Amino acid sequence: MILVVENLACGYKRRTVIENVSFQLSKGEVLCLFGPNGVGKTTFFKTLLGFLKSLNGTILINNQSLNQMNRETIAKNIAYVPQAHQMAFAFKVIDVVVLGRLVYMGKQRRPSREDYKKAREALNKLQIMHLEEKLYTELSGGERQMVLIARALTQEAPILIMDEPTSNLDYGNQIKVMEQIQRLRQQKFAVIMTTHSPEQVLLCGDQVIVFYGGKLIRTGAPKDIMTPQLIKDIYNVEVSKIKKGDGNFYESYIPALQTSLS
Amino acid sequence: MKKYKNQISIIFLFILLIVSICISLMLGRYEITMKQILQISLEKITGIKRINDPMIYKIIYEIRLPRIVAAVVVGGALSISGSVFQALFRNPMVSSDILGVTSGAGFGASLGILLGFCYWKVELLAFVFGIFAVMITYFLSYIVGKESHYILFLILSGMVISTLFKSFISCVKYLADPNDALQSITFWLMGSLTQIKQDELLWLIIPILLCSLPLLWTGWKLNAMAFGEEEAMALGIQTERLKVIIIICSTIITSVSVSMTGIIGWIGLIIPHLVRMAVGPDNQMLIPASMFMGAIYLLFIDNLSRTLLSVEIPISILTSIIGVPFFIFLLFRTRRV
Repeated sequence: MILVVENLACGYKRRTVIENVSFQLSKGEVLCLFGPNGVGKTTFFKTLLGFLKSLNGTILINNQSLNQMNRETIAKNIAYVPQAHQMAFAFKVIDVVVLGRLVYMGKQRRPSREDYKKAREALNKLQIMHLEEKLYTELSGGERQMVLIARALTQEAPILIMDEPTSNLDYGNQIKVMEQIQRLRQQKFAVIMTTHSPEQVLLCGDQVIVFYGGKLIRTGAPKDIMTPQLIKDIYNVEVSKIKKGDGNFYESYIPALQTSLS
Repeated sequence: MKKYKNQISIIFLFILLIVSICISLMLGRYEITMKQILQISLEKITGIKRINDPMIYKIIYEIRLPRIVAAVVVGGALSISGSVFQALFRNPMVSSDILGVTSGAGFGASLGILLGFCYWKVELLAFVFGIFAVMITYFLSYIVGKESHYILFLILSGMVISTLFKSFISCVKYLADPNDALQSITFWLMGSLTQIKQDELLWLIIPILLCSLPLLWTGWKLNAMAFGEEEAMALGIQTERLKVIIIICSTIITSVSVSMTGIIGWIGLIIPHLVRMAVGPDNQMLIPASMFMGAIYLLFIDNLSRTLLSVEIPISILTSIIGVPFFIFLLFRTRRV
């Protein structure tokens, strides 16, 4: 197990947001954090990244406690992929991706040739080598998300935490990012991603943690937990689960609209 | 060639700075030729005396050179400070006085002049109040701020404290004798390099040099900070430590500069912009390039200040009058690109 979380409680000084979360994650597994806005998904992954101190419980990465790790050690073990964002300064894509090597630069002030080589490898792996010399500020949302994934890969951490990686992306880019997450799983990365989409949980998740109703939390395999009743409990909407098989069997949801289409 | 474009830009700016210094030594009412400047430079190396006119030595070593060195150091320092603050606060509209250091120093100097202090005590008081203003800003943001909006609260606190000290300056001006102290305060607040003396230069150079070096080393870390504090932390940077180093070093270099030269506005804002258009946003290049460009710009402004009219023009007037149209021109040029 690369990541073991036991009885974790997290939140802020005067407010506990989430309690009693336990799970284990292996290499090549995807854990989805699912739930509506404001239930603590972000607080939870900020605690996993060491931005917030845990209020209770333990987080072990490769059998070492997160609390005993410094920033650099955490960065070598967990890479963070934020939502695709805009920024004030127009950096080149290669200069954004090579930032993933900061943790390996030590006392040297600038990235080495080797660091740039690794950054190009990451771009190549994601098939976005053509973006290398482009400005980050001029990319589409989907391209920016891919660049941020490339930066995380350059960090060479075995665990990736992705904050709603498909939010603000058009349909095509959402599918491309989901395909990429599947590839990361095949490359034996342990991936933790937050999402609002139950379809994505069924499509990618090996495990899911569902946050809803204050501190009420459920964990387990998506096919066991992600029932239409759960979706109704969380969002108060009716959905039907559908199964489709054309060689590869998969499940998804369709909304049961109250108003007739005719 | 493209690969070394930024390095070539830095070398070009360095050569331009040397040329600007040589030209500045020639400018003034007492005519000094380039040949004489080169002879004096050679004299330093070979030890053989080549010029017999003692007035030339006096003008170069006691009047022009201290002023030129001060312009180079202060221009470079304010530009470095502006560059690192713009990256740290992820805001290209930020300048070196965003945390209230300039207003604090302005108040300290005004108070010193009102109380009739001698020159070095006025400078000391300006320096102390510059640091004091930033300390209040920092602690205010620490007390009222939320962790998640730390930078926003820091900027807001800086604006509040800056406004407070500007009000204090107005109070001091209101109390000052219009025929004596008020004139001195007003002139000081507009900035000038006139009062820099040879024996004071080390007090300017040493702290600025010591505090600029760590800032010149922060380039790549600041690139990460430009993506936000959380992303920088996730990339392995100890952001809290980096912020403290940047704020302390920038505050000291700005406070030292302002305490010795008065308020010189606009450089910390415009120069990083100008340089960013040439070398891009990579702070590893941007900070040293801003340093050279800021030095050249202030040297140019100071030359105008002392040669344009028969009386000396305060520097802040010229930095704005020349800087604003130039900046608008650059904005138009960028839009076309």
